[in-house]
Amino acid sequence: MNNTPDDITLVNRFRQGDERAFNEIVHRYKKQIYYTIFRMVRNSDDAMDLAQDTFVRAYKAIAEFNCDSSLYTWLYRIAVNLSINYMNRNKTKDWQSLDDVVKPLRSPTANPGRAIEEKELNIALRKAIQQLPEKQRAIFVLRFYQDLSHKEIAAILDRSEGSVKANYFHAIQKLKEELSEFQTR
Amino acid sequence: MKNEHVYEYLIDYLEDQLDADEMFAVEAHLTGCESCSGELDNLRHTFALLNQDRLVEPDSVAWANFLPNVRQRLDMETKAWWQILWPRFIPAVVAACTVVLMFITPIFVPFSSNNADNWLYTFDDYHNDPYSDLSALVNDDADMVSTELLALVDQDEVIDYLDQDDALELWPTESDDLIMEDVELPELIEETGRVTELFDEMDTNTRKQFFDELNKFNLNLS
Repeated sequence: MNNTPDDITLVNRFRQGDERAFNEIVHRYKKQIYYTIFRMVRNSDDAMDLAQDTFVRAYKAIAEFNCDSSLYTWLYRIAVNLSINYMNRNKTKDWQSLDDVVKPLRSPTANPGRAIEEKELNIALRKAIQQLPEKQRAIFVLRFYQDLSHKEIAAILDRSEGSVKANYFHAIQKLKEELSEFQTR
Repeated sequence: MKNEHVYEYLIDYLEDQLDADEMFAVEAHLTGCESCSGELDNLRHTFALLNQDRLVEPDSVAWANFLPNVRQRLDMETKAWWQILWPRFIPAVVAACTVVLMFITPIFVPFSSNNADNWLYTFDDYHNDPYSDLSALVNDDADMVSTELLALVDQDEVIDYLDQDDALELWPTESDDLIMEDVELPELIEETGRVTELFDEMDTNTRKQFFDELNKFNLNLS
């Protein structure tokens, strides 16, 4: 039997003053929120900072949360809004933290050509995703990496499902073009 | 759908989002359409590339600190601004208070007490003229304290000096024991030493003039 309380139970307990319920919410969603933000902002330190900020805002705004919707959708909405604000503030920022340069999976000595290729691909992927408009980037990340449905994304971004679908389609098309160099290899 | 391209369905097809009828129609079209098949291959390859975009996974310490950091931020945000800033300014405030006290204390001490210890602080201003300085001690607001000190504390040195000159004698008004109970601070002795130095510098007339001044305050002089 699964004794793990569901999200709504945790929210209700937290609203009644149980701080441990909030801790449980943080533990439950911190990784998903961080990964989503990182995919959008492409900087691990800033992503961690924004992820923590997401829960601080959730804590303070828990009274506004409508239990008819899901908690994670609400958390994603806060995280995406923070990320979009961050991206708007840092539009000219096009650098990656040294810590964020993903090391090739294979040892360079084993196959130097492959290692260089992986590094090039990593840079190309980052550039391709970063050139997407902020909301389109958010839709792409939520759909492709977080596997949320168009309906859930529409609820998070307060848009119609059709608009989300269209934006996702255009995002994929742009990424396909940006990565076309790697299609023929 | 058989004769129309199905580009707009291909992403949903790859993501398995089509219902059974749509899926069947798309697959039927793809068997006879090189353009849509080629586009499907391109999309499939793009998806494969995008799936290689790896996450930067924070280390275990960063995850362990996640909740404490959130809690710390909440504490910071619920505190008033002065509660947050106060600890940073404590050293500066302490230093400022110390400086202010250093300036204020000499001003208030002579008026606040007749305690002989405090009288020491009235020795701040010296002039070139020993008589003026000693007279100032007698005539300022702490005059009674200063003259008592001359009488009670430093009598030995003063009397010794005066005895040498066979001039005036200054007699103690209280016993030596009582004097030592009242003023035992080494600093006080040092300060009274400065008074005797001033005596040393006086000529006979100045000395007489000074003791005349002391007499105005009913010192037990003979």
